[in-house]
Amino acid sequence: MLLEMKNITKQFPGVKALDDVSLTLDKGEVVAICGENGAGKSTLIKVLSGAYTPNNGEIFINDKKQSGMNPISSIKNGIGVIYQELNSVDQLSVAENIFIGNLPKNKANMVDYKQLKKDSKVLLDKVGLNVNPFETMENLSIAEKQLVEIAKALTKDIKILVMDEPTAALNTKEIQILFKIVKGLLEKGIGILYISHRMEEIFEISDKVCVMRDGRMIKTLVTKETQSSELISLMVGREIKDLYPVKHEIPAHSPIGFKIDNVSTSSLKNISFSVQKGEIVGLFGLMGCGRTEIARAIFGVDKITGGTMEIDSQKYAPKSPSHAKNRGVAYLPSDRKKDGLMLIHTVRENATVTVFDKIKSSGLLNKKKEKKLVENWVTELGIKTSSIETEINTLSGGNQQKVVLAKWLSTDPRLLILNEPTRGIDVGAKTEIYKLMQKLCDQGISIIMMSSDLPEVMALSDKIIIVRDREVAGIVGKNDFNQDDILSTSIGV
Amino acid sequence: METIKNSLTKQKIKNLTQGMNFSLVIAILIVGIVLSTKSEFFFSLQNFSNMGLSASVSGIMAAGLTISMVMGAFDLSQYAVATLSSVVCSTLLVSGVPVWLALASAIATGMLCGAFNGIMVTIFKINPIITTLGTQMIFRSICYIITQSKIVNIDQPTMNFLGRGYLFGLPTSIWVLGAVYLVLAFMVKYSSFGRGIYAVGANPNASYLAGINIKRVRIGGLMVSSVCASVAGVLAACQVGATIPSNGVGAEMEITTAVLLGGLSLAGGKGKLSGTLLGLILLTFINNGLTLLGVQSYYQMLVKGLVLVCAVLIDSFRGGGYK
Repeated sequence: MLLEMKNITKQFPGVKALDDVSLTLDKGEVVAICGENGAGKSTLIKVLSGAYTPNNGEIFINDKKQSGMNPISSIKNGIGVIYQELNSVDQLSVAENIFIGNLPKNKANMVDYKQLKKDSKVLLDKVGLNVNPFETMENLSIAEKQLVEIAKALTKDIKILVMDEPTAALNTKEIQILFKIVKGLLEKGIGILYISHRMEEIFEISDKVCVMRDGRMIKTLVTKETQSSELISLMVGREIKDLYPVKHEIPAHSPIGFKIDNVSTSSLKNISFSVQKGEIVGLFGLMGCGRTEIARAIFGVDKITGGTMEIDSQKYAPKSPSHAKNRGVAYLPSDRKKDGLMLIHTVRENATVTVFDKIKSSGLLNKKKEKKLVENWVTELGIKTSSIETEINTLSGGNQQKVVLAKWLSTDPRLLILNEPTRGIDVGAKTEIYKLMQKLCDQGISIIMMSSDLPEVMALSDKIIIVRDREVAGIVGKNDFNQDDILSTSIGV
Repeated sequence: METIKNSLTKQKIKNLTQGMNFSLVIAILIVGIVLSTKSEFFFSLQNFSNMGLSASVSGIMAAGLTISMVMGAFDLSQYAVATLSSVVCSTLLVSGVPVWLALASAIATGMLCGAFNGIMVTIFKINPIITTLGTQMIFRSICYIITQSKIVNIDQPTMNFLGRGYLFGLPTSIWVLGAVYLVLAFMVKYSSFGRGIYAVGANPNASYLAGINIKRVRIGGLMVSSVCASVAGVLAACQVGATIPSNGVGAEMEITTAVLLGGLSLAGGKGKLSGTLLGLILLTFINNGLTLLGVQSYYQMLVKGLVLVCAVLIDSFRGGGYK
């Protein structure tokens, strides 16, 4: 057996990212790993590449037990990884990127550029990329960079190649080239772990397919004997009843709280929909479809080039987030650490950063008032922290997210935009956030929720807007929710 | 119960010792005690007044620099702004302008310089270090142009009182220093602007998305730094009794040293005025002590360099290291 991962468990504070996962890979075989976002695929890869040390479990390569794997020993063992996020150094040339870390040297121990050019030309031809080896990396398109990444993986004497969503940025032709390369590698006896969302690719290229869900390996199937519907139901099939609260009906004549009419920006085309008071509208679409851009337009981050918006039937044309905030719009960004939190600051400082005016008395910030406000939220949202003066980066993801929610709820919003509100947080905190959303609806707040987790969107929304290619591809009412239809509309088949 | 109490006290002790301030206070005490035993003159009112005089100028600038650095902007133009302000002030005085107007003009000069820096950083999105490296030369050049590189003498009662006078037994400069720290500490603690400085320094992205006007905060922060420089510049001129157009060339790092000793994070978002004040005291003690002990000035720089590196080393061991 080329690779065997046995009973791998990886625990992060508050989340079990991998729970007793086992996997095998033979020479000349492609094993596809599929699962929703957050299922644990990337964590599994990082354990294999030595970036993470598992809390439990064993890894065998060529039947030899590996201990204390780290990124360097993993490369030495012949494991090559092409990550979803590109790792290129944009300032260097294509050739230097391909041979980064082992540039050919001449007798004087200096870089041998002639040899470098020759070697990289061979590899570039192999991946079907026609660029000058000394072209600067930043001038390449994302697809071209992806191919350079593959060429880079080919420079090493690899036995196991891991491809994490390698086709995310490629077009059909480029995908075919990639598959040709993959088949060539298989003939050499290399084993490939292939991570992808795309069903058709999994069926075209893989021999076996493993389904992961919530950090566990659910089932391993022989691809030929499997239907795509079976895979999808295994990927999403969780007990929805326990996880999601019962959605209350919106009062029949609830007025429109927010309306966006024919809005365009530099990256959006004619977006129109409306949200009633107490309604949750789900925005669903694939990565890069324009969901986040819609949020940014509503929140005054991106400039609107056409169309109008209304809040409570009054014209709303936000110039900046601060303007949007004053009009009662709140935005929970998808990247909590980058856009949502001041990680080196305390829970208190993070929770009140939106509402300096509300914690003042006679024009001056009042620490007592601030403390009371924050402590209220800690109790109300069940934020688990030793004190409000704790640095926020020591909290678990779920509790951090609750603090971001607290800072926005303090502003008494009329429209709450939640972008991936449950990304990277554990199931317990998820349910609490769902319940909170329901409670806010009962208070008459309008909610727009973006998520790439379809079951979540379906369970919580009153209406789903399907976004594809930066425009609205479909609007589905609660009674017409159907997983397959929504998915196929979002993919465009 | 007993164990909880125990761990609480332990936590308290840990918090206390973890702050940069704690190690600073210890360092100041040690240096102070050593110097008192080595030199009988060290622990005298006269010597402390002397130290206060020199520390007040750099201390006021350091206070301003603390604000801009917490906000994530290194301000290299402070000394140039200080000199330009005092050039404006003294030139106006010489031409017969009333003293209040000359002082107000000096402050206005600082505000303008700071606003200019701020606009370059926010509207034209130029890195603060590069901006202030450039404007520093521009401001300094204006000093030379106005004065034709000549020293401008100041002999005016109010100015003399500010620079060399005493109030309630202490040099007036020290009172000015105290006032500047009080005003800034008040601003940091009680105003939205002060909290905005820390938020923007910690994460500009998140601050912007939390609805903070980060351009306003950044321009304001750089203005605070420049206005502090103006006050310090005028004070320095008053102490000497003249404006020297080349004043402070090459001295920028002395102030940065005090701020860094105070435990400020270069990444922004963290740092205290009290820390800067303590850093300043330590640096002043060392400067003064080395002179009192008759250490050759070549070695003085060596000692200061070592102190800074050691102080930052402590920070690095505690996990705030350079990555």
